[in-house]
Amino acid sequence: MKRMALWSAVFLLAFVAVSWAQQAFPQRPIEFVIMAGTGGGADRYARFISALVDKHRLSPQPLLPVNRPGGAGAVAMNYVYSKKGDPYVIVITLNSFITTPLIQRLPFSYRDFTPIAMMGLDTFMLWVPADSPFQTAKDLLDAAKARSLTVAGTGSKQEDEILFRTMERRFGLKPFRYVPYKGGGAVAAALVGKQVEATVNNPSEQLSFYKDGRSRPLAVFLKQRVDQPLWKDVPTIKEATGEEIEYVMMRGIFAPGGIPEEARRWLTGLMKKVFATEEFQKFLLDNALFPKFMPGEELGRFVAEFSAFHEGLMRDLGWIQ
Amino acid sequence: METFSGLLQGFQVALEPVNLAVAFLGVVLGLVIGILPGLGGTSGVAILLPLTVFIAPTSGIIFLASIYWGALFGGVITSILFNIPGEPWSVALLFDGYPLARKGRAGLALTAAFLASIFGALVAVAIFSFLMKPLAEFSLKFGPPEMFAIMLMAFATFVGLGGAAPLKTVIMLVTGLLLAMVGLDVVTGMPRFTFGTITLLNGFHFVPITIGLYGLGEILASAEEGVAKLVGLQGRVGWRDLRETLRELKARFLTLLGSTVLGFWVGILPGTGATPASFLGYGIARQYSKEREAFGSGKLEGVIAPQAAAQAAGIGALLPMITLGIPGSPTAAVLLAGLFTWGLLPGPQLFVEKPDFVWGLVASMYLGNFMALLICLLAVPLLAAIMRTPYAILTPFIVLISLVGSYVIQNSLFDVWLTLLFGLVGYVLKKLRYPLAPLVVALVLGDLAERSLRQSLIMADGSPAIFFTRPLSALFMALAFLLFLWPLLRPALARLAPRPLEL
Repeated sequence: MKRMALWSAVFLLAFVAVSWAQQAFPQRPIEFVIMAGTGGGADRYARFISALVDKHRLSPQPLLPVNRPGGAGAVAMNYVYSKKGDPYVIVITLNSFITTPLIQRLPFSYRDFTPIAMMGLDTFMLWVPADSPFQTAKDLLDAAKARSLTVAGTGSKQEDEILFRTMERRFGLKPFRYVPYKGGGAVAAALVGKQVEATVNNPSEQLSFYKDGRSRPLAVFLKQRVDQPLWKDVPTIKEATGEEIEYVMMRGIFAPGGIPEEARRWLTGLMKKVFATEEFQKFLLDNALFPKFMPGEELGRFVAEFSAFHEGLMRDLGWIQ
Repeated sequence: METFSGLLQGFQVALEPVNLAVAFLGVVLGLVIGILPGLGGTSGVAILLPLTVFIAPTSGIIFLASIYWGALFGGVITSILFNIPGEPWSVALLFDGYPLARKGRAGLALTAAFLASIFGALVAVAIFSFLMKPLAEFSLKFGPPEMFAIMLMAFATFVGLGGAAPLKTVIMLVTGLLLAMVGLDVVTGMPRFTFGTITLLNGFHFVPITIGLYGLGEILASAEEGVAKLVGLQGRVGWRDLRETLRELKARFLTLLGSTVLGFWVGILPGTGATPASFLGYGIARQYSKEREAFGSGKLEGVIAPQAAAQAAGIGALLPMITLGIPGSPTAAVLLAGLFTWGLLPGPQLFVEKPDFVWGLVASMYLGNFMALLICLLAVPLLAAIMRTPYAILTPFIVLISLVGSYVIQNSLFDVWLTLLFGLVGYVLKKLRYPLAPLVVALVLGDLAERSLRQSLIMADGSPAIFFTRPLSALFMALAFLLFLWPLLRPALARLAPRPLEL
């Protein structure tokens, strides 16, 4: 009797194991971690993507966006890092995905995560209020050689400050008075309210002010101009000053390290389908995002290069040893 | 005139059956979200945002905004009945709302809070409808120095709060500020007081701490006092409460109007929202009251002022979002994400391109808030009846929702431990007669105050003169000092005033 019970248990287990292996990924909802609070750029992306997945029925299971803000992304990264091998967690990144582990000397880096897909690159532009005396980027830089300009950006030792400090070094400027704000929207408002003289907002953050004629982009930090009707007249920083600076914000999707290959391929495929939707393309266009899709391997190479670039830069600035 | 025709158009949109239905659904969901602690209006709106891709953008924004209105109402209930904040912005209601409920006046406190809400909402919507654009413009002139001056005003009103010894108040204020400092320092980008742990990088969220200090602390204290005393809190409800509330509101009209306007303005400013507004509303009402000492022990003004301010701030927060594309509060930030999801671009163009959307939203502010009021008032007898549940049954339930609420805020188990720890801390502080409110206020406003102070100092190369050389900032600084000194000045002024001749 006992033996029979044992055997039936073994069979049952085997049956469960086999049927489980046959069923395709995903079996349950996927947690979509956002490295920031509600309302920011990354949040907007994640919620938009999960809404598109629902709307077009791209996945049998939903993506559930969960905000894990704090520590410039460290809290979210630590959470995803702790889920090693679990394909039911993915995270959408900012550049802090690279800079935060470097600055805060965290026990992990981008190498400990599985690259899934790049959903676009956000560009940076140099902005001034509409009635600013600076007509060109050169005007602004000439003034900055004589005196410290007051500028604003999101957070500290993050994207915006990196870009301003890079300009300081490349052009030999007096140190900017850099005022850190909590988010890109507040930075855009500080510029239009003339609390500060310049910002390096993403176009999406300044878009409504720009359309309303209240702020002006002087240059874009890319190798070539943005090929869209609204932005094609904005010169590259090289055209404006002769010095080339390229800097972008990556909107990448990553999973924990060591997830099954089948799940990784499925997730990359899902993101590719999202990227191809009409709504997503319109979103990219509206927000002047660089429409760049990269599958996992390509994203992996991109991140490695991007990290090396940041590390060199931050060493130069003395932020890390 | 543009406003009237716009409103007319807006009401036509908002009164369409679909939009009425989604507004009603939103208000009901918002009330539920508001009542449940932890699950806040912000996350509620965020969770339900993806659903709106299936309906028209105008219906979508009406739905999401109605959730916000419902949540602003709903948070009241948990704070007053259970002494745990249903929403971050209902924390200020703990100070006087729960003491009122303990006195058996839960029905009165609830009715007053709901009527204060609708008053705050209506005044705010009226200002919103007519002065939308100039106000948004004016808010841009508010930089870090002005923000710091406003924060200073808030702190000035809380000195001596709870009628405790001034030294005890200062100790609690400083403790709150110290707790607010933990986490990532926004100015240097470096971790601060985190002891190398990643959990502390996010700092302390004030809701788990408040749930512990008030909710659990109170339960522990009551357990000691003996359960028997707490059974059968009177749930006397009825039209008498409504009449009494209306009388009270009429008597406190100036306080109500003042905190509404102030709350509305704080809501407009980016990065603030309903929570700081409610504290400011409470602080100002207390500072100007003739019975300051009675605050904290169940004063009706202490319920209506913060609630009117919070409701007005909730509406104010949508103003810069619609006109400038800058969210005035975390919830407005999520609504902004909604706008992008629907392919709409906020800003002045929105009025031209999508007037039905903008004015539909404005009209739904009137309708949504009235719906919430009606549902709430009808529910008051039912809600007050909860208070008659035997304490032995109610308490485990309160502990349970407290802990679940703490977890849900940031999906963090650490917050649950924090709530339990601060439950003990709250109990001990209560026994030693330390006031809890200054700690909570400092914890909530500390981050904002510190950031604006340091931003200002960076702008001025370290010179504090910046607070007095900018006209607006100088004005608010002067007001802050006046508020701070008011308790000393008033008796002096009273003496100076000519007295009636004594015969």
